[in-house]
Amino acid sequence: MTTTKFRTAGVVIGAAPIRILRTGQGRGAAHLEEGLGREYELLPLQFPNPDRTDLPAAAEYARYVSKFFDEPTSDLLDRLSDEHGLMWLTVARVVGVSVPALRKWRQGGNPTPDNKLALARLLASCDGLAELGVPDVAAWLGTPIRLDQNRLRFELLTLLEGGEPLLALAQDKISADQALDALMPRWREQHVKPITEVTVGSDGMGTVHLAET
Amino acid sequence: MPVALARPQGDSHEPDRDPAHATDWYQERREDPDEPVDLYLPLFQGDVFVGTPLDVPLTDVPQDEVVEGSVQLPDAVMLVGHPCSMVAGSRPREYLEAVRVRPSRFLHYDKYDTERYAEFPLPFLYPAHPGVHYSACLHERGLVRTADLDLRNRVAALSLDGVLALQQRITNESSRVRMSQHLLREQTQPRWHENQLARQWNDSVLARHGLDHDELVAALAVEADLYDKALSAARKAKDEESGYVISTTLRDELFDLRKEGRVNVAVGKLIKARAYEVKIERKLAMQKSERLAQGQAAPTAAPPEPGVA
Repeated sequence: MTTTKFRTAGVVIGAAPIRILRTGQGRGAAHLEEGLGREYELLPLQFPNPDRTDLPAAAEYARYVSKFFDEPTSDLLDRLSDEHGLMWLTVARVVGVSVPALRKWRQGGNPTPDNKLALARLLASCDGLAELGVPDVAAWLGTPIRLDQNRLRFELLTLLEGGEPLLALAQDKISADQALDALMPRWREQHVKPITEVTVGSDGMGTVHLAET
Repeated sequence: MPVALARPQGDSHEPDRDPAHATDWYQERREDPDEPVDLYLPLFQGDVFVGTPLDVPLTDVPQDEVVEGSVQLPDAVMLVGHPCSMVAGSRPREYLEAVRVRPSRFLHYDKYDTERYAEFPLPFLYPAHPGVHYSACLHERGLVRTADLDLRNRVAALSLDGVLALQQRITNESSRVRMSQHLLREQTQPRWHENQLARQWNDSVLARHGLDHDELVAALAVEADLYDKALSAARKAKDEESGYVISTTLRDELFDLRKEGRVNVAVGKLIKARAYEVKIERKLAMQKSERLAQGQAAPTAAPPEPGVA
């Protein structure tokens, strides 16, 4: 059985081998079609950038947080959306508020100091990741910390000092398992590595199957 | 190790703490009885509505669960069709699959993997009813008319984790196969992402115009069509593998999860252009009505967008 590298859209499925059985036409089919009949080992995003291993100093991160804290809230929200491509729901989840609350801030409302600080930390983290060479900060943050777990990288920012572990994770200075330990100490209890198959129907949509357990 | 049925994590960074609000399963709940779930958020799998009778018989599930005298959400249902099967083009289908939601005793989180397979537990569903918990009864399944789903009656929308947990329980109940959530995520996250961007589109374009409910419903339908067209429009992009410029669409690119930020930025620009267009349309309509009131003709052409030659 051929094993090769498959990166397209593979960041979520994780390290589980995938066998493409058949393919159809339409949405979602294109990236599967070329792999018909082969088994793939999915890879995580190619990061950190090996050319950039300099972790911004903690003091530098703190300086940016402090700077952003003093800027208008609507500017921070615009930068997170327009420059880093973060979805509003992601921002809301990191800060711990609802999307309608963000709407009020965009329209001139004032967040609490704690929420403003969370926004500042999020933006400083995004800038730090971009500086490190992450090609798509939103995609990187929205990827599970471990590919077979549901906890996403941006959830580290819900921790009080989440920005620095996040940047350390991006540089491989801490492992994914260490990051998960911080976020979810009991994650190993639910750890699984299934074998799967994917078929793509005539409508172009894939269906995932447990091939073996 | 076998796949376990998911359970709420509560505050994700403090998993040992009682997840009193099951926060990771809900994207939004109706915190205040007068404050519905965000009207700009399009329908999605896992949405809970009240005031929507479901013409299917009551079963004995939840077992031992008729919580006598408890507060009930009247005629509550949860939409359970996969998001891909809920829509035809840009609009929801005429009928959607739903299951009944009923009060239920609290299911301890340690028992999620071993008990009540025919339910999808909805702990702390309605903050206005503290101490009353609900379940979606997977056997009490039927169709609801989409036209009967009033967005003002939506009491909860699930998070992506909640939707994946729902899919996992539905699959387990119908097949006794427990799917890993990360596999379910592969099929659902792009649709989830599309739904979130639709909310941003609706919000940015319509939120400031003070529409009444009927106007809002009509406007949301118009924007759904335009959003669908925007996502389906052919565009050129560089293929990361080959380096060639290829023809693609934003919707196709949503399925490449490595491009989330770039897709969001691209959609954000379309949203700003549409918001500007609507702003000008409304301004012109206002001027027209003023001129008509004064007996003058109104101009018809919109001024160019700033920065556009």
